[in-house]
Amino acid sequence: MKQDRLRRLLRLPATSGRMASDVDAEFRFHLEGRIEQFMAHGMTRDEALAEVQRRFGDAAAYKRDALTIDEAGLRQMRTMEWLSALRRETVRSVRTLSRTPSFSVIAVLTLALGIGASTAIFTVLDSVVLRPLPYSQPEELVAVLHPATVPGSGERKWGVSPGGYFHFRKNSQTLANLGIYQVGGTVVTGDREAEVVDLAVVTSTIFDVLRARPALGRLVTADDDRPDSARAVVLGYAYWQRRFGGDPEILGRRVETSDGAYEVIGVTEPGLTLPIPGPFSAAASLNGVDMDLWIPMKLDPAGPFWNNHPYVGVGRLRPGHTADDAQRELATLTAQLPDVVPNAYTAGFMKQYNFRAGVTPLREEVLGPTLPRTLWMLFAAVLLVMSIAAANVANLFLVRFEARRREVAVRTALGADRRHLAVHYIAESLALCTVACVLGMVLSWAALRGVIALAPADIPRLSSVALGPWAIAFAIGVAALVALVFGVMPLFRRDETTLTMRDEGRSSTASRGRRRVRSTLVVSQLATALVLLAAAGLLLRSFGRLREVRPGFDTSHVLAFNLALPFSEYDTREEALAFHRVLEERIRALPGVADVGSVSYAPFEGFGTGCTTVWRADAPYAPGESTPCVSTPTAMPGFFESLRISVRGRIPTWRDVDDRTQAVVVTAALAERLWPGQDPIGRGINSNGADSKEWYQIVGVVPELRAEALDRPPTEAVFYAPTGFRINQRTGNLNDLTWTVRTSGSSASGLAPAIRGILAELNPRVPFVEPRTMDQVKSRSMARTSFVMVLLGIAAAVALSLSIVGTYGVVSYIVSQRRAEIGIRLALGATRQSVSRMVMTDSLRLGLTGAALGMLGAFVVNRTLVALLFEVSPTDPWVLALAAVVLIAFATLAALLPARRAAGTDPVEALRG
Amino acid sequence: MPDPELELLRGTFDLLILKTLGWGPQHGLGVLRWIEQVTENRLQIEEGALYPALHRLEHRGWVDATWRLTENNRKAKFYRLTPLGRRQLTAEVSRWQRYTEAVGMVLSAQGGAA
Repeated sequence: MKQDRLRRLLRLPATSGRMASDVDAEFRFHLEGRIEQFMAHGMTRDEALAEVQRRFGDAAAYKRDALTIDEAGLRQMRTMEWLSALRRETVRSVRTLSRTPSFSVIAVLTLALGIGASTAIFTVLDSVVLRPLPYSQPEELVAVLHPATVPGSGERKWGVSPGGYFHFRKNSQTLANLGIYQVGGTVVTGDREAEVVDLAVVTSTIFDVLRARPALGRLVTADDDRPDSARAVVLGYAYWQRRFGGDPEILGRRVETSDGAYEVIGVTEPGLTLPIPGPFSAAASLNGVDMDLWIPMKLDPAGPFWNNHPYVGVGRLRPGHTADDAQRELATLTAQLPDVVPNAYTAGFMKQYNFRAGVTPLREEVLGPTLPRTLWMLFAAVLLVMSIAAANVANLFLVRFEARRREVAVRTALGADRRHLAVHYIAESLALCTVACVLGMVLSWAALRGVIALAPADIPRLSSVALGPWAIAFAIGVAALVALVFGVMPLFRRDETTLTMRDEGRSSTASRGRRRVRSTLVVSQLATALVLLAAAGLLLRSFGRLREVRPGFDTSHVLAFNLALPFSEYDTREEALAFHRVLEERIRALPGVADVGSVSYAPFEGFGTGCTTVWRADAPYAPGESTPCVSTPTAMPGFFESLRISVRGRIPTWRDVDDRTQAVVVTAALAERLWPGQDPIGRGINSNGADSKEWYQIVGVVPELRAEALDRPPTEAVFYAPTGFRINQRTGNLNDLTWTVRTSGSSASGLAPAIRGILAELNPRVPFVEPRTMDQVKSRSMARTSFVMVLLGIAAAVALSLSIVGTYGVVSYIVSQRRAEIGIRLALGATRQSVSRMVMTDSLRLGLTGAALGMLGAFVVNRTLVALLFEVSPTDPWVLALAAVVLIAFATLAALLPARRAAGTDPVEALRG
Repeated sequence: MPDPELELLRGTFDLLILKTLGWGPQHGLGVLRWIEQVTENRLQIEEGALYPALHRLEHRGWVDATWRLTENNRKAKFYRLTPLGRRQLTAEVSRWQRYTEAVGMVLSAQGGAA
């Protein structure tokens, strides 16, 4: 082995040019030797040449063959040499690294934390924001909605009305097509256990817009989507698999639902989902929502049309048009609505509600504005943290390099060239970065598990967040980049090596410069940490504020669930009420149950998503006065008690229901709007119009209720009793109520099996839907805030730990640099305390500078958080001050160890060394 | 003169080269002359084929090569068997012997089997 290397060294370096001339010479030698041989046997030179050439064959081809073999050999040899050098250097560097464990541990930890945090945030960003919508050419898709300003309640986004739909489809030049749909549920009955399924009511055009294909049969066509078409249904692929075992003979079969039977005309392609833009769903998701059944809407183009906006509109832009073009065009078309559909839209309505068109890229609408911005900001912050961490480690590397200058200089002088050194440094940084990368991935995996465990249901696709191939590629990419930079970095300082051989390399100015660089890095690290700490603090405070908000009801010890009474069995009010009363009594009889009630939709689950106009009996609205459009749920007796909603006056009872007293309860917020400063009890209210004869009497007032969300203004609502009056689908439907059951102290979720049992006994065809506790509902309503809070918390914790490590590093370095000085001080009588105070002061100075810069940064950056904050200013002085105190405290703590070490310096030894 | 019937069997050329080099370092022409000499010119070899073969053996590490001067003071590329090549030669020789023995047994067998 040794001999081989020696020989290789003595030989001229192998290059392909050199190899070619070698082969030439070799062949020439052969041919000339042969010619001489034959001439010696009496041939003439020409004869000999001819004979030699005949015997030799195609010299050019053989030359080529020989050369090819040589070149392959050369390549292989070089690779082998490089690899064996790398292996050798890796072994060597692992050995040197383990000889300086503190350096290695700090470097690895720093990088691992950086890689881990950035990978975790990248993963979330990737799966929530970066991936495309699951449709072909998704960038052409736009959401079509109607923003409106609801007087007294603020900005809302309503859907498209049927009248608007026909008008837009007929006249839009910018949209290639437009589809509208509504998502809901129904109950599939038939020979198997009844189950609640997700139902999409769609226009046939939506399939064209989404470019969907059937897996079997056909999707809803224009012919299926007329008022007189047969009752047809398209099955979702997953539902077809689940319920019908993927039966290929499904076409033409009937599906029985609580809304009647449908004939199956097709099955969608696998994975076809409906996009649910923000205002229509708490669970917005780029992936869209899986649908079990798709049925045609069968709108009549001839009308009549009403002023209702329940449908999500999704359009596909014509090539060459942008969402802005479509927005301008639809704004014009929307303004024409009072002329086109006069009975649904009046000029007064348009003006009063500031009713407008809202065309936005579907992606934006689904994600909402806040989340992507927040995640990007977070990612940028983490990348910043990562790069500062990397810079810090780079600095450590340089310090090490400095310490090894002599070694390197000797190696260089002995003939190690740039490439050898590169191999050495790359091996060393590769060893570190590999460990850091693996550790980082473990950390980010753990962090993600934590994030998912905190499970906010309304963050798009968070449940599918996992360390995927992209994230792993990202982590490895970052690690590789860092490794390469670290490995190559020292090479650019090679020119110093000759100097090192000459002097002793004890230049104090150089170390002062380095100290400045290191301090700058640590200060920027501390500053970033402060910004993140402050951001996390702001959200924490918001969260605290949110929790302090009194919603006007008590969510603890309440189980909520939904029932879906099949219309086939419970078609009338009496049938539904009868079942209800029986069930209520049975549940009330369960041990531990305190109160039972039910309502059209529970607080935090449906308030504020739609509204109904209400009128007061005693005074028609003045021309300038805004008409309130409010939530109008139906509340069964027992509802207010079950949620401990206090009511002034009285609560309608079963007697009111039986006698049809038309007693209603309103919230104080609504009462204050309708009758400012007056007592509303006894006054009349309705939802059918000022000229109606039917008025409901207010018997109770809820003084305080925030049922939309904790961060929304007090709710305006009318709680109707189940008097059979159907105001619209949302409020009048007794077949789909949310039940709320309060237990007396025992666990609410523990009730679910017992109630399920009662239901099975009463009527097994009534599905028991989505049992949840109201506490869960409440925390879900705060999910966005808590989710971002957790992510920011992670980032802040990482930034803080890195800056502690950084501070520790730089202070230790300073101490080691000043060892001689400290020795002198001690020798001259300085106390150990004063020495350690000196070191602590250094650290404190770093902390103060970092905190000051970070404050400035937080002032600027944290304004972007404003949409997520609740009753907290982005520059909240308490939060900023607390963050600064924490930061400075930790920075000072980081100096404790080096300070102790400094104080423990032996003056004699320090001065000698 | 070469016997036109006796073309070299595939794969045996390497063996011949290794065997020849087994007697000592030699340049390409020398290898060829040696083979001619001991076979009394019976084998028909296209001489150029020798070089890709030699380079391949070198690539495999069975021989190595250096430029040296011949007796006539000419520079020639001498090939030498490496220890690895010597082991290879032993193995190849024994394999060849087993092979020819087996073929010989078939060819010299008497009578036909049932």
